[in-house]
Amino acid sequence: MRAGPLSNSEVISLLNRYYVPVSASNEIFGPRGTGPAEERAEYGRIVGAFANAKLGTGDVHVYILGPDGRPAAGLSIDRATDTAQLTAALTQVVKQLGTQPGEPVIRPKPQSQAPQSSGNEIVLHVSARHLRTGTWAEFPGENWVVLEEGEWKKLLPPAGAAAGTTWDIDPAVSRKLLTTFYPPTEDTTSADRNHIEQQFLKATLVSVSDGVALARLDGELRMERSFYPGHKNYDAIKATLIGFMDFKLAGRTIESLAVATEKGTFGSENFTAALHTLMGASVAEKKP
Amino acid sequence: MQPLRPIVPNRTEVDLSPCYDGVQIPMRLRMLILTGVFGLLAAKAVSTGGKLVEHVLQRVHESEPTRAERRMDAIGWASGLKEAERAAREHNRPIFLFTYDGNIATGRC
Repeated sequence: MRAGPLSNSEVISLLNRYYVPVSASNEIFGPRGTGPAEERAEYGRIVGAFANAKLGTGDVHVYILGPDGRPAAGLSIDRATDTAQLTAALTQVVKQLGTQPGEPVIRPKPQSQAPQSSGNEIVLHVSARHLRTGTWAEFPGENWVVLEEGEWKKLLPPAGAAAGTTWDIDPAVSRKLLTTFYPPTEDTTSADRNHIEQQFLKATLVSVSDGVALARLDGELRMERSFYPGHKNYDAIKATLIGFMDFKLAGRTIESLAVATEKGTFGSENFTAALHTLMGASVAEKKP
Repeated sequence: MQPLRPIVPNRTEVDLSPCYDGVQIPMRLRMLILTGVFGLLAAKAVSTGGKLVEHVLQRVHESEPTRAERRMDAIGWASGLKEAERAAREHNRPIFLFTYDGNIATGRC
């Protein structure tokens, strides 16, 4: 859906001009979801109403409701991913309802948002993509990683470090950073299903200028991951890593951090992955 | 600890927010990144390992989602079902509800 109809200009225009669009992950809104009870209850009511109306239901599905919340039309995912069929259904419903076009009722904003964090935390954005085209390679997978103060301080060298000093990054911290280094796979939940065999990051203090130190990061990652959740056929992920970290020697605070794959393979395919520091609050909140 | 300045605004953020974080440097970053040049922030460390920084930022940039890959951000999504229903009643509009597994916004789905 994301790479198909939800990236189509006509569908986007229809949704913004005539509809109130909302998406609901089963992991959050479903019967066993983690979302607010009232949202999960409403999700259940909608599915029940569509079942009663014999308009079809499904975990991955498009439900179209009237302004009063009653079922209007439903599309199975097979039909919904067909842009022509989805466009026809969207158009038909607004004609039936006599909906007048207008501006989006909800202001569009980036959907992948940095999590809320305190000033003592470091927020990192991870992106990973297949180095090919086709299915599962239409867009990268993203993750947000938040390092608490007790974690990011473990990235720093011992006091008194000088150029040439090397140190090993705490394995628990590097594991937290690197377990998201995999290209898009089928992820029905956010549960970590990686089997890490080996991972490390080693730092070398390259230089110090005006009290700010630059460290080079080198590392490796070897882990296994099944493409589909619940499947036992795990593929090997192998990656060599390079990165850098700027930090203040006096205050022992990190100014910037980035790590990327030099070379990555997932089974027989190549991929790239990287992480970098981001501000503590979401980008949308920072917009003027 | 002071909030960290983003070292590589992702492409959507760059495109949607010319005044990213309300400062001018990211505006320059926008032009630099869009033209494939990472000079500005990398320049911070040019005298102290600039090639390393530039190389890593290039790798970061290659992984980040493009604006085209985030077209769904152009849709005005409600944050939840209750908000959608309130807006639908208020504006007399139908609701488009897409249900799925995982997280479509991050591509982990």
